[in-house]
Amino acid sequence: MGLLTDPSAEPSKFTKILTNHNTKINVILYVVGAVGFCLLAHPAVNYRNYFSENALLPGLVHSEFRDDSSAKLYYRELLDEMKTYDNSMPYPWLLAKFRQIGLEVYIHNFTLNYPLKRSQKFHGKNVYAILRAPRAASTESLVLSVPYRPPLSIFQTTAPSIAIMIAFAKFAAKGNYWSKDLIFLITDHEQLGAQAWIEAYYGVQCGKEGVLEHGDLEGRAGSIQAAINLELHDFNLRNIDVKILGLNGQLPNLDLFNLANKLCAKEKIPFTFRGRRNMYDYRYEPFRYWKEALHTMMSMLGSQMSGVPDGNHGLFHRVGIQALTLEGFSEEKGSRTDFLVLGQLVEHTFRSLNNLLERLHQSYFFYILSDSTRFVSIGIYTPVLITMASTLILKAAGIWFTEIIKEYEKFKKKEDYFKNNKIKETNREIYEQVVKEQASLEKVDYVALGKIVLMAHTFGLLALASPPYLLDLMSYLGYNYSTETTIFVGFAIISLLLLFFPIYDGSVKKNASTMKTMNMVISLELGAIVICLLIINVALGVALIFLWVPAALFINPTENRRYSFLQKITWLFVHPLVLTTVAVTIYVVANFRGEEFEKTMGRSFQAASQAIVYSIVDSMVYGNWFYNICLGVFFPIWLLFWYLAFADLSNDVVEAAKEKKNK
Amino acid sequence: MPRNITLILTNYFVGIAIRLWLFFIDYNTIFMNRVEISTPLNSWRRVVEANYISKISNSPNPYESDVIYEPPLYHMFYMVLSNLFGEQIYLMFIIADILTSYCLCVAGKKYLETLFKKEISNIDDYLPDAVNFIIKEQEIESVDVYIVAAYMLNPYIIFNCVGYTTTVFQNLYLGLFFVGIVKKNVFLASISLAAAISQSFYPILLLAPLFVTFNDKRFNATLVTTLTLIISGLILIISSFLNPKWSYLNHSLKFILSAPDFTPNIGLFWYFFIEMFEHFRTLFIYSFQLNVIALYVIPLTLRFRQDPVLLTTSLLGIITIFKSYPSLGEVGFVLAVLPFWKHLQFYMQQGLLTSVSFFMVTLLAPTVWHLWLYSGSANANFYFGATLAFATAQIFMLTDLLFAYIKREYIIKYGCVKECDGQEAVLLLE
Repeated sequence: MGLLTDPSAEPSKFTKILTNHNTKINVILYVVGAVGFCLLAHPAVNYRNYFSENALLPGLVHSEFRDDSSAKLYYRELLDEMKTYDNSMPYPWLLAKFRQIGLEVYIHNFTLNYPLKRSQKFHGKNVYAILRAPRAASTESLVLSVPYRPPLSIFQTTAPSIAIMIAFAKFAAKGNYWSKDLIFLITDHEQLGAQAWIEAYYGVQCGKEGVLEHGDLEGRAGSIQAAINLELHDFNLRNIDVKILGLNGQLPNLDLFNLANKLCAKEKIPFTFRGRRNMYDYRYEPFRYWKEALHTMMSMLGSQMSGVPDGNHGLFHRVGIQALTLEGFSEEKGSRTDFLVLGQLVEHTFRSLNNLLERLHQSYFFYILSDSTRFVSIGIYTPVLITMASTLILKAAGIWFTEIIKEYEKFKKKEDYFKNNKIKETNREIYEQVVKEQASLEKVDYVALGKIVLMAHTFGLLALASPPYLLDLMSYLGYNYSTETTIFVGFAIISLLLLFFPIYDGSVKKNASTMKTMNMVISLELGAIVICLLIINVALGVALIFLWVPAALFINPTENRRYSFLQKITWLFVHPLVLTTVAVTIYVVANFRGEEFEKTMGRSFQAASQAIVYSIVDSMVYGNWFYNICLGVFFPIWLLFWYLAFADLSNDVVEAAKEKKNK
Repeated sequence: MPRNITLILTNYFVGIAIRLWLFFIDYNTIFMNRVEISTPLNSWRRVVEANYISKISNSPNPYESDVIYEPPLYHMFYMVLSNLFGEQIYLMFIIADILTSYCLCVAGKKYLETLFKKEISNIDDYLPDAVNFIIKEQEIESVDVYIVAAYMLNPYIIFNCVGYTTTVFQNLYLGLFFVGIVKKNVFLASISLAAAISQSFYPILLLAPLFVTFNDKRFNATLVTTLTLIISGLILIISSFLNPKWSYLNHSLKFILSAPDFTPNIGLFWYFFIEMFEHFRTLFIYSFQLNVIALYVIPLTLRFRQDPVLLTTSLLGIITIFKSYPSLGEVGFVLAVLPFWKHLQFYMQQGLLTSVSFFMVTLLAPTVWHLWLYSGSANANFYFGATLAFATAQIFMLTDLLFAYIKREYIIKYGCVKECDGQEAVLLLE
C-alpha cells in the first residue's frame, strides 16, 4: 500500500515524468485517442450485431397476414377522407374503423401553452385504440404508433402507415396468441402529441410545469414493453431506414434494432441506418469501407448531440420504453414491397415482441452504430474517449505535482542546510526568519478565486433564466422583432458584455500561483463534466472532446503576448454561441449551394436563431437538457477559461529570472 | 472593519443567499427527494407526516408505522419548532447552519491558538531544524474565514440544508461538542454529546474523545463519561413518557442497528444486504455494526489521546463512512472541520486524488441514478459503484489526514534531518 502509507516526501519517478513532460504526454494521449476513435469504425474493432435476448425468437412464426386488400381499401378511403380535413385528423373515420374492428377507441386531448409567448395556446387530439390480450391479464402492452400528417404538413405523408396499422389491427383482433395488449396510437402535431400521450399515460410531467397540459386518458393498458413507430411514406418502398436517436441522446436496446434489421432482411426489404448502408466489402476495399463506416458513425453522433429525438420513438425512451421508428422511402419503379410485405413485417415484429418474458434488458444500451449491421460497444469506445478526456485531468495533476515538487525541494534544501551547517542562532531567531520567509511568499488567493468561480457560475445561471425576461424587455421597449431575433440578439449582447468579465480584479491576474490553481480547478471541472457526459449522451461528450478539450489544454497562463493572443482567439472561437452559428452556417452552405453570399448569411442567421429558440422550447416542453447544460454548465466554464486567458505572468517570470541569477 | 470579519460576513451572506435561492426555485423538491441527502432517519418530510398523525388521531403514536425514526422527545422538539416557524420553516434550517458554522469557527480558532501558544512557549525545547515546522502565526490568522467558508459554502452542507433534513441539528450538536472539548466546558460537551447520541446513536463513539479531554486532575473523566450516558438515557426515558410504551425504541435504536430499510443511500449497507442471503443477515449485521462501533475506536484513542479534536474528527469520519444510514450532510460536516488542519496541508499527499474523486462521484451518482431508475439503461451496480468510490475517497482523505498528523508530529520531535548511523534514512510505517 505504497499509495497511502509511503511517508517519504520524495516525489516518485512517475510524478517527475508527469510534471516534466506534461504537455508531451497530453498531446500524445490525445492523438493516440483520436486515432483510436477513428479506428473504431474498422470491423476489427467493432462487432457484428447479434441477439442477446433469446425470448424474441425473431421470424420463427409462419406469417398469417394476408389482408393486403383491406389495407389497400383503407388507404384509398383515407386519402378521400383527408381531402376534407386540410389541417386536422379525420377523427370520425378513424374512430369508426377501429370500432368496426371491435377495439376500444379513445380520444386524448392535450394543450400546449407556448412557453415563450403567454396567451398563445395550441390544442391537439390523439386517437388511440386498445386490443386487449386474449391470453393474459392486461399487465403488459406493446405500442404501434403513427404520427398523423395532414395534407398541409411540411413533412412527407404517413397515410400508408395508418392504412397498414388499421389492417394489422383488423388482423390482430382475430389472433388468440396475444399475451400483451396492443395499443394503436395515432398522434397529432408530430412529437408534441406523442409526448402528451406518454405523459398522460404515466401521469408525469417531463418538461416545465404548466407548459404542456397532458390531460388524462380514458383507457389504459398494461405497462408498455416496447413501441414501434411507423413513418412509411408509401407502400412501394425503396428502403426502410431505422431511426433510433432518443431524447437526450438515449438509445433503445440494441436487440430491438437487431429485430427490425433481421425482419427487414427476412422480408427482403433493403435496410439502412441514417440513410446509408455500407456497400463495400472490407476484405477487398478496406479503406473505402472504413471511410463509409466512419461517416455513418459521425452522422449518428452529429444528430445525437443535441439530444433532439429524430422521431416519436425518442420520447418513449425517457420513461424507459424501448422504441424505434421505421421510416420507408417511396420508389416508383422496381420496388419489392407492397401492402402484403409491409403488413407481414409489422406482424412479425409484434409477434416477436409478444414473446418477450421480461423487458428488453439483455443487449447493449450504449453503443455507436458504424453500419446497419455493426456496432461499437461502450466497452470499446469508452477507453478511447476517456484517454482523450483524461488529458485535462493530467494537466491538472501536472500543475498540482509541480507545486508538490517545489515544496519538496524547499524541504530538502532546509534539511541539507541543517545537516551541513553548525547552527548558531537561537530557536527564536530561526523561527522569526521562517516567519519572514513565509510572509514574502506569494500565496494562493482562495478568496478571489472563489469569487471568480462563483461569479462565472452565477452569470451562467442568469443567462439560462434570461429568455423570458429578454422578451418582456423587448415588448416593454416597444420594439416588434420576432422571438427568434430577440433571443439571438439578447444572447449576443450578454456574451459581448461578459467578454469584459476578465476586467474584474486586476491583481489576481498577476498572481501566478492563484492563476495556476484556477487553471487546475477549471481543468478538473471540465474533465469531470466531459466524463459524466460520456455516460449520459456520448455524442455531446465526443463533441466536447473534439472541440473544447484541445482548446482548454492550449490555455495556460503565460507571459508571452503572442501566445496569449492566440489563446484568446482560439477560445473565442469555441464560444457556445459562435459554435452554434458556425455549425448552422456550415449546414446551410452545404444544403443551399450556389446561393449569393448575403442570402446565405441571412438564411444562416435565421436558422441559428431558430435553433436556439427550438432548444429553449424543447427544454421546457420535453425536458431536453441540451440548452440547460450549454448555458448552466458550459458557459460558466467558458467564462472561467476566458478569464484565465487574460492572466498576466510577467511579474512571475521576472522573479524567476532573478532567482536564477541569485543561484 | 478588519479584513477577516468582512470576509466572514461575506461568507455568511453568500451562504444564506444561495440557500434562500435554492429554497425558492421550482426544483427544490429534487433536493428533498434525493436519497443521498435525506435518509429515513433524517428526512423532514417524515417529521411533517408524524406531526400530522399526532395531530389528527386520538392516540398520537406515529411510532406504530414506518414514519419517524427519532425518539419522541426530538419529535416534540421538531413539532414545537415547526409551530414556531410555521411557513417560514426554511429559516430554522438556515439558522441552525449559521449556529453550527459559528461553533466550528470558535472551536477551530481556539484549538489552533492553543496549539500555537503551546508550541511557541516551548520553542526553546525543539531541535533547531524542527523549529521550521512549528505552527506559525500567519498560518492560523485567517483560519476562521476558511472554517466559515467550508461550512456555509460547502455544497454538501447546502444540499443538506435545502433538502430539509434533521442532520442540521445533529451537526449543531456536534459543533457544540467541538466547542465543549476545545474550551474544556464539561457542561456543553456532555449535554451536546448526549443529545447527539440519543438522536442517532453512533456518536456514542465520541465518548472516547470526551474521556480523553477531561482526563486530568481537575475533572473526573469516568464521571463525565458516565454522566453523558446517563443524560442520553434520560432523554430516552423522558421519551418513553411521551410515548406510552418503550416500543418507540424499535423505531429508533433498533432501526439504526438492524438497518431494515434497503433504500439506496451513500452508505455501504444497502447493496450488501440486498444481495446477501437472508439467513446470513444477523451475522453480517453484527460484523458491519462492530466494524463501526468497536473496531477503530480503541486504537485511534490510544494513538491520538493527546489531541481529542483530531480524535473526534477521525471518529466522525469513520462513522460517516460505515454507519447504516449516512447522508451528505454528515460528510459535509467532516469536510467542514478539515480547515482545523490547514497547517497539515504540506504533509498531505492525496489531496488531488480525494478531491477529484469527491467531485466526480458527486456528478456521477445522480447521473447513474437517472440511468438506472428512469432510463432503465443502467442498473443498481452502477450506483453502488459510485457509493463505493465515495466511501473510498473518504477513507483516503481520513487516512491522509492522520498520516499527515503523525508525520508532522515526527518532524516536530526529531527534526527534518533523517539520518541513521550517518546514512540517509527513510521513514516507514510498519
